[in-house]
Amino acid sequence: MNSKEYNIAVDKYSDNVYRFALKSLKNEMSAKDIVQDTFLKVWLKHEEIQAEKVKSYLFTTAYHCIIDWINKEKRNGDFERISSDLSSPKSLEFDVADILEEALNRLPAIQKALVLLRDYEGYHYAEIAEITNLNESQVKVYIFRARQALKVHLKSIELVA
Amino acid sequence: MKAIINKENYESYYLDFLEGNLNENETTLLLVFLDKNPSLKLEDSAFSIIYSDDEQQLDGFSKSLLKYQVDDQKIDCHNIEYFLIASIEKQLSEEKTKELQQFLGKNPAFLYDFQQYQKAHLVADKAIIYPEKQKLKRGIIIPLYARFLAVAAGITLLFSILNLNQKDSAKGLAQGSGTNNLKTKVKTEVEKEMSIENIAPNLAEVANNFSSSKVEIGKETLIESIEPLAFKTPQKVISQPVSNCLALACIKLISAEKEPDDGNKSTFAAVEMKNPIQPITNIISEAISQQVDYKTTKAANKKPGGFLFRIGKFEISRKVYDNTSVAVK
Repeated sequence: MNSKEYNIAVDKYSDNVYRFALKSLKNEMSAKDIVQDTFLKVWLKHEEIQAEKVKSYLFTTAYHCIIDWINKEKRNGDFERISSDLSSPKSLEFDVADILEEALNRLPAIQKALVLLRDYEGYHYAEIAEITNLNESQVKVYIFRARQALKVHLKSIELVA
Repeated sequence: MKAIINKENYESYYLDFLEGNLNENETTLLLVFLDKNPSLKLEDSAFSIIYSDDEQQLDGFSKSLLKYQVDDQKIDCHNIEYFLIASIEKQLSEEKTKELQQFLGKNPAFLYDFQQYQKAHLVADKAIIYPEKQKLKRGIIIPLYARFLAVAAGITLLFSILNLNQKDSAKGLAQGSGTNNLKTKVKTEVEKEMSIENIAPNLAEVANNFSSSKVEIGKETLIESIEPLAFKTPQKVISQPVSNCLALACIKLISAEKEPDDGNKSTFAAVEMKNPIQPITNIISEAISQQVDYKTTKAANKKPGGFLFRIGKFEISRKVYDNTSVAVK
């Protein structure tokens, strides 16, 4: 991949990587840092990366950056505080997108990342497995469990409303 | 005996359901009852399992996920969740999809769950964009020498503009100088030649002169070629003077090939030129390993100055003519 192809990848995928990081971390500054780190790492290896595989490489790098960030924040105790802040229902207004967002934030980090890759980017299980270093069966189980949790949360809010 | 589930006895059914002791009909009845009485369902601790991370207790769904070849199993009330999600995830075969549809037809209580799964799909918010995209881009690296070159070009442009302004202010005076001024003389000659009445009748003659190679282009060119054509019936002169460029071109040719008519050759002394940005040009010279020079003459006696800018073999200069100086090559 040359510099021109790299710059095209910036235009095409930086928004996607940013959304992925932002939804995973719920922290704008950290999400921006993740995007910068991700693209820096890809740039450092751009000569080894094929242009058609750059998206997968970007999300793989971003995923591992996110997991590292979460682990680091967990050690500091900050991530739990952020998560607990988000876990309290904001309102009972029935808006599917908001409820799903809330439900998403309740998911464990890995499940959340996998659902985002699946729904936002439309990746297949095999591709997600490659990105996350899991096997396909693990990806399927995580996603199924995440779907069930999203559904239950959605249903509970609807019933209360 | 057909079981009837109501608020008085639903708890025992519920416990049996959680332990997996209900048959298919009883499970369906319980789920229908719970759908009609959702407040009872929410009170049940089984649903909090999903909210908590306590995975010591596995539900039917979790067990389904652990099993191999679960897709081949018959759809029932215990594994329905699995098949509903698999359907949403497009993981079911055609055969299983039909089976699921038939099951949902027979057990409409699960249709609501199916609809909820259909809703539980995230959609990316396209309004969220990365704001610092340009900072991520790479590869547009401007070489050091090109930066110096750009600086030099900018400075040259600045000086040129300043010189032009000076020239404009002195233009009127320069045009009105005495008869010894060669520039004025040449301009007058050219103006005569450029009169409308002169040009038209002589076009054919010009063509003939050129075609018969009477005029030696590049030697005593313009003045020599114009002189034979002149002064047939000079009646009306174009009010617009010829451009400075043409005049200067004429001057160059004359000064290169001919002695001045008035014998003022001694007055064409080269004016001393100075480089006002010597350190910068030196740095650029070293950076690009090419000779870089920039020189100017100061405007004097209300006459504009000239300049010279040279990089290697490339040279730009503006020569200014007056009766005391002729500039630079």
